[in-house]
Amino acid sequence: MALTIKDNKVIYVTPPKKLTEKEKKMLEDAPINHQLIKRATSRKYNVV
Amino acid sequence: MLELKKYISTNTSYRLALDIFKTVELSEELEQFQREKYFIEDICKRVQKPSTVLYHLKHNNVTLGLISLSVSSIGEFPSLQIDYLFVNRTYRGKSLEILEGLKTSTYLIEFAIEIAKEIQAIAGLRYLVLLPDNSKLQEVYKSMGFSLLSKENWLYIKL
Repeated sequence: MALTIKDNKVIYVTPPKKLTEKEKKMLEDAPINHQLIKRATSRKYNVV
Repeated sequence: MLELKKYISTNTSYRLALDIFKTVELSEELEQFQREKYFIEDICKRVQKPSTVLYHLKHNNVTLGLISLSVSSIGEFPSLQIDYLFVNRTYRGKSLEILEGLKTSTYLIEFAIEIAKEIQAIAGLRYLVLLPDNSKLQEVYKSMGFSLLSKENWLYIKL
């Protein structure tokens, strides 16, 4: 989720635009969970 | 019948929030009730702009949950952002046969992965990202396959 509440107002939060070198490396080196992606993409979703 | 009703700027009216509130059961606890109400109202306003899409998961016209998505980026990496995920009170924590034994939240996350992969095929998305509303939810999302990125508690799945 990207919503939070501050002073009784909903605030829309976006992901960080500047990443540390450690964070960049973490993202780039992250493994892909092929099992999860296969399960998610092999299902037929009824979008109307 | 299980369906995901898609709301985008071109098929949405100012009445969307009112229509959705007729079909959902929010939390009984007052503070959480208010949070959910504010978030759903906000998302329904955002859907009237082209950057946000809302999917309304229903079974035989009974609401199971909602998920709102927008394209974003984390650092320089294009990403699909889960703006909001809501599960109808009755179905929270329950695995449902109609969802292939999954919980509603898991089904909606996996649907977001499917959408992200479709966009990736044409526009090169790299991650599915979200910011959990609280630390308890952070653990739930980690159990679904998300990893913690930053001290701001953003979570991601590499696509």
